[in-house]
Amino acid sequence: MGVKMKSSIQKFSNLQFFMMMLGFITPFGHFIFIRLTYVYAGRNAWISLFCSAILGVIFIYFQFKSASQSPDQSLIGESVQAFGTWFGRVIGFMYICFFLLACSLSIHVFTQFLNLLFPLTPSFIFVFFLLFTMAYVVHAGSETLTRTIQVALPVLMALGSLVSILIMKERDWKQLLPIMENGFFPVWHGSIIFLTMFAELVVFRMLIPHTNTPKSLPKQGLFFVLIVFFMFLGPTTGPIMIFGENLARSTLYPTFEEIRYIQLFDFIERLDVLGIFLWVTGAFIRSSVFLLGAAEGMAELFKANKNNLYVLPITFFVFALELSLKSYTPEKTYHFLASSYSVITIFFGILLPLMIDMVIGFRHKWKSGWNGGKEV
Amino acid sequence: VEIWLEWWERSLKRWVLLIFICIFSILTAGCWDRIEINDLALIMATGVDAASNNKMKVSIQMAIPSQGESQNGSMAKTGKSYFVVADTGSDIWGTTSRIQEKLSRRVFTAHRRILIIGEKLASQGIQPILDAFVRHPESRLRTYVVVAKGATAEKILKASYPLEKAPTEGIRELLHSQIGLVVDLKDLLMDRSSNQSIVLPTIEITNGKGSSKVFRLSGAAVFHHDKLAGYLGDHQTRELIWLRGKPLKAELSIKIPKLKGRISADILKKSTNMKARKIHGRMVMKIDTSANIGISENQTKLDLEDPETIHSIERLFAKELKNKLHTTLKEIQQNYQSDVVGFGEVIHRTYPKDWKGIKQNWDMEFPQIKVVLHTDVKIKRTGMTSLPINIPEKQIRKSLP
Repeated sequence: MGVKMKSSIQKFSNLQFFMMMLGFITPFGHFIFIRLTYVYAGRNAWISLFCSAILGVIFIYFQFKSASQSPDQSLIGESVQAFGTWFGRVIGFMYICFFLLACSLSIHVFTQFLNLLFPLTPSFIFVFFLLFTMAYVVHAGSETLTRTIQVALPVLMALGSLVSILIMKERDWKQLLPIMENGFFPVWHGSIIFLTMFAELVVFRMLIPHTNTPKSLPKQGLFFVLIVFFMFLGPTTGPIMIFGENLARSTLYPTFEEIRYIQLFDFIERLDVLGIFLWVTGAFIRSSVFLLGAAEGMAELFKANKNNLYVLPITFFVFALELSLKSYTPEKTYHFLASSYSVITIFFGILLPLMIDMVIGFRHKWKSGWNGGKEV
Repeated sequence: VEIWLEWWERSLKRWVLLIFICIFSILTAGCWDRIEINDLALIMATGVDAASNNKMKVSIQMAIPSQGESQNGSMAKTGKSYFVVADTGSDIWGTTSRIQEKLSRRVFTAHRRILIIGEKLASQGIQPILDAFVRHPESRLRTYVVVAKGATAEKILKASYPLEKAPTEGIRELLHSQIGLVVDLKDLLMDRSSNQSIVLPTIEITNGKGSSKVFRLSGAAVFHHDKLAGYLGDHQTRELIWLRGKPLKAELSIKIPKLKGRISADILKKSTNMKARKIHGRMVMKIDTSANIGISENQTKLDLEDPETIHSIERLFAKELKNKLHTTLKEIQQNYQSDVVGFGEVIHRTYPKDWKGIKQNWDMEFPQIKVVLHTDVKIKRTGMTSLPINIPEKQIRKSLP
């Protein structure tokens, strides 16, 4: 009933899959979502992270659990299976639109940052080259992307750890006090922001058919959330401990500002380039994964012979969408990310997949009952 | 659509890609923001002074690279390695733009080390100038901030400093030596946005050899909100640094009762722990401070080999330290009424609910806050000699009188 993926799809290991997820979530989360959380939770952002990690564990486990029940099907295939060909395809198309929106927004936020540092360079140049590279890698296939991330991620993690070590002496843990001064509501609001970050991982349900052992994903997903929690704990508390709540909240890129503040032995300083490298790579990984999800979704939806057939048209679409966001200032983009985008992402990332899984579950039960306990 | 896309895949793709790569390799070789280093005017320090008609005078000190160092690293003797340009305007960046009109190179502020605020401007309030030094992407929070005591920032920037190529480097090295207060833009903004009052190091011009003027790090400027309220002297500043728990290189000196001469010691290690306690409904600050010291000078006839003598001297050092800290605290509370120590922040962290009530009247409450001080000093080193030098053995005292 569902739209079947082609049998000759590129496969990658679960390790590559989780590395891709880490590369997807970490740099962008460090630069953007942490700052958004500061707006609401302030110095209690680490508690928001803790709460969202608990919710993230539940969310990731159930996402992977239900996806591993039908490992050959992507999210679009499952939506068709749950809601029938016509309505399922409409939902599938909505997912593609969501991935393309998220991709454009990621590129937009990234180019806005670059434009602050390079004010004379037209933003479309950054967009063009990023999209050009993304399209090239995504067109080459999901395996190429995973291998690229496999090379880039250890470098990113090593640089991130180096930054944490170099800035350690500036941290004052007392800045994290008092805890929950204004009650739990701001912390909860902050958790929603981090939860949005976890909800975006729904794009990886498009890639589950590529994994070698999808049955192991639910358990491995729990370790993934644990790793994400520890990888976010330092960057979430760091700017607060260094700049205090008010200053960290009022800077646009607090984690980047933290990197800029590094000074050791009077000559190790001005490490802005590290921050720019982390973000360029992070933006590339994140946008590429969204583009890959959308390209595979298009190929599946329109039963194309090749998975990469629609890479070029959707890349042009993302380019146009990004240019249409030109009037969005960083503040406006942040506001959108923290408000409407959170709602949209939680709907597409948590509620809708939950609904799809529930309908598929009911259908299975119903069919099993109809055929005397024998599953069809 | 599919047929068209497959045709594109098969034939046209590689040609279009090739043309694109060629075009963009030519058009985008080097980004728009590229500037050669010899087109940049590297700003080392900025000074801001109050001018007439509510305007401000912005002075910038720039490096002259060709005058910096010769090829073998020695100092060039052809002239100064810096020069100062100033202009007056209503805002920092507007005035900087006007300064730019006088310069053949582009003003580049990313290497600015020092921001000097003139005394008059500090008295009028520093809030209006702060934003300009944070908002611009070239600005850095590592920039040190000092107040020009009894002078304009421009004068300080123009003063020479014989030990360094540029006076800015001299100020930076003085601040790095940890003999006085060190505040950068980050610390200043943190204090401004929290419940703490601002305190900044001061630099003043003194007479050098002949008619030349040099400068020295002279203490601290205490602010009430964003306006200069007064100055703390050298010693008081060190005590304030001690209370704030910041790094400090200083000496302690005591007079032994009924004995001639003094005993001095270097601070090897120190720590300060500040706690807020609510006693009978009133906030009391409890400050515990401890230090490890090393004896650097003994002008008395005391023998420092005896553990009991050492213990007595430790008590005297602790008492002296307590007195000094107490006097400075009293001065800050009574004369300046500015919470530069950070009591408010400690109360906020310990009693966040009570703080909401206290915060509104903190200016009135701060001078009334009772402080309980406890000091503990341990002598860890007595130097290379334990017996006083050149004093006959008969005159050496084994214990305190």
